[in-house]
This record gives sequence, C-alpha cells and structure tokens, in this order.
Amino acid sequence: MPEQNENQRLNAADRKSFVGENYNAGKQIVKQKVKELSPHFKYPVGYEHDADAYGKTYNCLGFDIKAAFPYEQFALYDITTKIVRVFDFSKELFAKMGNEQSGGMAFVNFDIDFSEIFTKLGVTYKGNEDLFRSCIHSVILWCNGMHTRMGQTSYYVSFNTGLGTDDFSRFLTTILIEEFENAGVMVFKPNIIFKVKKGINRNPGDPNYDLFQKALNCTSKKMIPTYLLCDCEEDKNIPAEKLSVMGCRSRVVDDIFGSTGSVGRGNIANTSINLPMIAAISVEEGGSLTDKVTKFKNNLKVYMDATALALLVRYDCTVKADPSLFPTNHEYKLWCEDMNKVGVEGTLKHGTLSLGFIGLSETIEILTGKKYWDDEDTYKLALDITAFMRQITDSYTEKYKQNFSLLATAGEFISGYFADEMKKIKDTSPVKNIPPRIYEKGFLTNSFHVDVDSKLSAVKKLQFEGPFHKYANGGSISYVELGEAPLGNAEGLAELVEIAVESGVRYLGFNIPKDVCRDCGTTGLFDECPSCKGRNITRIRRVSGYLEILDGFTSGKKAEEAHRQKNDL
Amino acid sequence: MSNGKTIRVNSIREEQSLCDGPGLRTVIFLQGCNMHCPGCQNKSSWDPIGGVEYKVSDLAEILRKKCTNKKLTISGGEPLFQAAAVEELCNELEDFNLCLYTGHELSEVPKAILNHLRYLKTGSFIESKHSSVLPFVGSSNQKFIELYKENNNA
Repeated sequence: MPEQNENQRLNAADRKSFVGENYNAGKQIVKQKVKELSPHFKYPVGYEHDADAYGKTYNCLGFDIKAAFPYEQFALYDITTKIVRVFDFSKELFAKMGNEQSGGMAFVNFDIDFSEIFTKLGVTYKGNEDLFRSCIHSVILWCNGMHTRMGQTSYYVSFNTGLGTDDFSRFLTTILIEEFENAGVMVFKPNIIFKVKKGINRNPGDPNYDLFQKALNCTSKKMIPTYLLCDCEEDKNIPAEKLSVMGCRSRVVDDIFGSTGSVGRGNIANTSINLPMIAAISVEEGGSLTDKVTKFKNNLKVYMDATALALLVRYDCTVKADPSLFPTNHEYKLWCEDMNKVGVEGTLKHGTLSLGFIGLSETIEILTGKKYWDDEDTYKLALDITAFMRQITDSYTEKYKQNFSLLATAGEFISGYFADEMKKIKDTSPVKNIPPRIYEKGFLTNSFHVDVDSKLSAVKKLQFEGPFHKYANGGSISYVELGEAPLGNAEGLAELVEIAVESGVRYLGFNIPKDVCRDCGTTGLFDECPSCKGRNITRIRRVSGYLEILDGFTSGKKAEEAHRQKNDL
Repeated sequence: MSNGKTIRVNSIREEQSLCDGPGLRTVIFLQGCNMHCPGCQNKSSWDPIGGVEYKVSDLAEILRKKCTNKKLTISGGEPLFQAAAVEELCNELEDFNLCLYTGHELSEVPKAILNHLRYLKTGSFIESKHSSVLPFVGSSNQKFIELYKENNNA
C-alpha cells in the first residue's frame, strides 16, 4: 500500500530518513504477515494497530516517574543546573521511550510528581520562577517540534495535571498552561490533560478552581487542555491521582494482577473491529430486526473471539521479546513492577489488551435504517450492543487471565481504511447491504460517536454519547465541535464540562477549526486571510487525540474533517 | 406593572451560544433596526413590521422554558428600537442573568433597562474594524461591559 507509506511519512514530519524507510518497509511486511495469520481477514473486519511494533514492543505507558527517579544524577549540581537538567532529563526520557514503545507516553500527575521530585532535590520554585518558565517552555517546544521518533515522526506526549493543591504543584500547572497558551498558534503539542475533580478544582471555592478556569481559557483559544472527568460515573470511586490518559484516549484502571490505575501501566496492543462490515454480513439474509440483531451479535462474538486469540498471540510474542529492547524501562522502572526483577512478562502483564470498535452509528443504520439517536428503542439497541461487547471482553479477562478491555478506538487511520476496503469489495455479496453513502463518504464514524454531520446540539451530543463511556473500560472520548473559538468564555465551557460529567462522559475535548495565516498569524476559519488577504493557510485539527496539521491527515480523516459540522450549542 | 405590551421577535437561536456573552447563552433576536450597519449579519431583522409579534408575558414564558440556565442575551435587530417592551421583558425576567447587544453607547441605554443587565455590548458594527480575536464583539470599536459581578448588585 504505497499511499499508506506516503501518509506514514508525511503524517507527522515531511522528511525522509533511512531509519524511516526501514520502518515503513518493515511495517508493510509485518502487516502482510498479520493478515495471513489472522483468521478474520476474508472481509475487512479487523485492524491490528501499530503492526510495525508486532512482537517487539507494547503501545503506551503512564510513567511511574517517582519509582526510580535518578536523584543521584542531579545531586551534585547547583540549583540552576538541577532545574535545567531535570527538564532536559524529561526530554531525553521522551526521546528514549518514544523509540522503545509504539504509542503515547504520559506524566500521570505532572504537577504533584515534579513538585515532589524538585523538593527532594532541595529545589524550590520561589526565586526561580523565570527559570522554571523557560525550562517548561523549552519542553513544550521540544514536544511540538521534535520529529526524530523512528527517525522521522513526532512524539506523542501527554501531561496530566491539575490535582496538586500545594503551592509548588499549583505553580507547575499554572506555568505549564500559561507557557502553552502564550507560545503562539503554531505550538499545538504536547497534549495537556486537565483532571477535573470535585473538591479539588471543579467548583467555585475548590482550591484549584482558578486553575480550571485558566485551563478553560487556554482551551478556548488552543483546543488544549482536554479534560479528564474524574467524577464520571465510571471513575468517580477511583482516586483521581491514579487516573490518566497516556495516549490518544486509553483508559487503564483495573488489573487482575493487583494494581489499580494508570501509574506505571499502559495498553499493550489494540485491534479494532469494523462493526458496519459485520452488520452487513449479518443482514444478508434479511429477516426481522430481532433476527438481524441476533445474527449480528452471534457474528460479532465470532470475530471478537478470533481477535482475542490474535491479541493473545501478539501478547505472547511481545513478552518473549528480547529484554534488551527495553533499556530505558530497565533503567528507570517506569512500569508498576521492576522489569529487572520480574522480567518483561512480569511487567507487561499489568498492561491491557484492547478490542476496539468503529462505526456503531453506521451499524445501527444498517440494522434498523435509523440513526441511533432517532428514537428510544434504537438508542437502547446501540447501548445494548456496546454493553454486549463489554460483557464479551470481560469474559476474556476471566477466561484467559489477562487484562482485556473494550476501547472506543481513535478513528485516525481505520476510519478511511475500512471505508476504502469495503468500497473495494462493494460488488461482492455482504457489502451490497451497506447503503453506498456509508462507504462512499470515505470514512466510518469514530467508535460510538454521533455522526460528525449530525447537526445535533453540543448538549444533546454529550447527552447521547455520555452513557456509552462506562462500557468502554479501555478508553473513550467525546468531542464538542465548535464553529468558532469561544474566546474568553471559560464560563460556557465549564457548563459544557458539567453537562458532560453528568452525562457520563469520561474524557472531553473541544474542537475548534483552526486555520492559521502563515503570513500574518491571524487565526479563524477561512480560505483567505481576513486580515491580510493571504492564501498561505495552515489548518490545525485534532486527530487521535493530538493536534496535527491537516495536510498530513490520512485520506479518511480528511474526508471526515470535510463532513464535520459544528454542534450548535 | 405589566400593561400587556407586545414585542416583535425576529427569531430565537435554536441552540445556545458561546459567543454572545459569558456562559452557555440563549439568544433572542428582536425585530426592527434603525442603524443599518454595512456588513450586518442579520438584515432580516431590519424591517420594523417584520418578524412575529408576541405579548411580552407570553414571550417571557417561552424563554423561561427554553433557557433553563437563565442566561439570556437580547440581541437584534436593535433591541432599543423597542425599548419599552424590552424594559417590560427585563422586568418579567428579573431573576435572569441578562445581556443586551445594542448598537448604541452606554449613555444612551435607558436606566430602567440598564438596572436589569449583567452584561452590555455597545457600539455599532464597523466592517473595516471587524475582529475575530476579541471576545463577544464583532468589531474592535464595540465594547463588551460587565455591569456587575455575581452577588454584588452595583
């Protein structure tokens, strides 16, 4: 698939390297192998994410940064050097880990953990404010501009923050947000995830309410931070310090091997299932709605069973990987167990194996002829199917003694891939049961999301999507698409956050179409700059939880972006 | 207090807005305008006898049902074109967080209306001063004013 090669190269960096060429070539070979090995590839039903990492490494990780922080490396420096070197150390860690695992990496509590680390090093922020600012600014620019991962792509780094109420933690959250906000429109990485929690920052009177407001004001301009809603139905009883997003949206909480939460844990591998394809196969013989749904569930289970086995095979390969492939993990013990003591398998068993899904909206349309939000019965069916998938993944955890989870997958590559693959086989039997517009539009709708062109209000969209989140124990996100930047309206965004929490949403992002005039810096939504009439326009949009430049989008994502309609409020 | 005034309405925005004052706000566009700014986004609201006529009390009832968070922006048209009716509407909705979008200046807004407002947008729209970076206004000559803070009726 040369187009895909091309995308891979252009997605995050427009440069080539021999490492990158090798990486792409290897990825294609592995994909072919996976395709041959997988039992469910007669139709485009499944997609193994990050196949280039197959059997070599895991996906993402929330760093357990405190477990083996190398204090001794910094002990003999003066205060200034300690501050500079600790932030340099974090850049180096991103660089090493970005090449040691395939997906996102996160500080689970940037504010709390780094205030503790600095305090232990005898460093206070007082009197060093400007230096801290410069260093954090530099880390932000590193994440935004560095394209050396695999020799060619950028790093997926997430800073979770907002819970620390001591002065030092509050200072770190403050300058992280301020430096990001003030760094200019072309700085849109790393992702910052503000953790919203009752009693800490959610309501007026909470000690960090001012930081929540600061975060919302930054979001109103820059779409970042995003919001991890620690009071949502699914997570409200778990200590918020243990929650985080380590990559696009992954949720890692339960662990049959004894730990809880995201500190030192991540997702090992993820395979996504193309629900509309299974629906098309299931309605081939017609019948009543009940018949169709029964057949769909039976087929879905068959494909999920096969996928679970494929994930287990991948897991076995990964944990048998040469331990020397994980030097940084060994050195800094970033997982919840020490790899030096328990080995690769003893460490990675704490990770999750995720079954993802895409296109619930189209699936319901194929089964019922309606959108899932059209009426109560149809909506119940959509929830029922999602609950069914969760029951099945729970049963795998029980049966195979591994941490399986259900992931409301990011659509980035697969939204277009599945649509294209289905179009390729459109003259063969099952696909004729798919209304052509579903694959003709060139993308499938993300996980359980409402269609991007539904024109539902933001409030209704959140209320419809909210109840799905609790089933997706492997991660999920809801977005509100805003037509224009809600500048200065933290109050309004806070109201939407509140509605999201009450509706069950676990992770929330606000999307604002952001076109930037490269000649004069004006931002908005335009083809010609309203200020200088320039036509040198860069479009920044969110893909898989991270902001990217639109020109580098995959074809499916471009198609989806073209269909995005703002959710009127 | 109510003497059954009527008010002409252009439309009520179907969904709430984040760009017409702080919060998630319901926006009502009143009918009739004598300012006729070039580049106006809502020319259908100019005709003084267009739109739909409501009894003010009926309109207040509709807004109470629709605007459950009680954050309402009265826009237009030019709301002060129907100043007496707007005053009555403000009286009916005295527990609301109200914002008025007028093309007039602060000194020209009747005190009886001003007393009810939390926010006020003043100044006519000037196309050459169009801005997409200033919160809640369309052109840089316009002002968005917070008249009092919460729990502090000043």
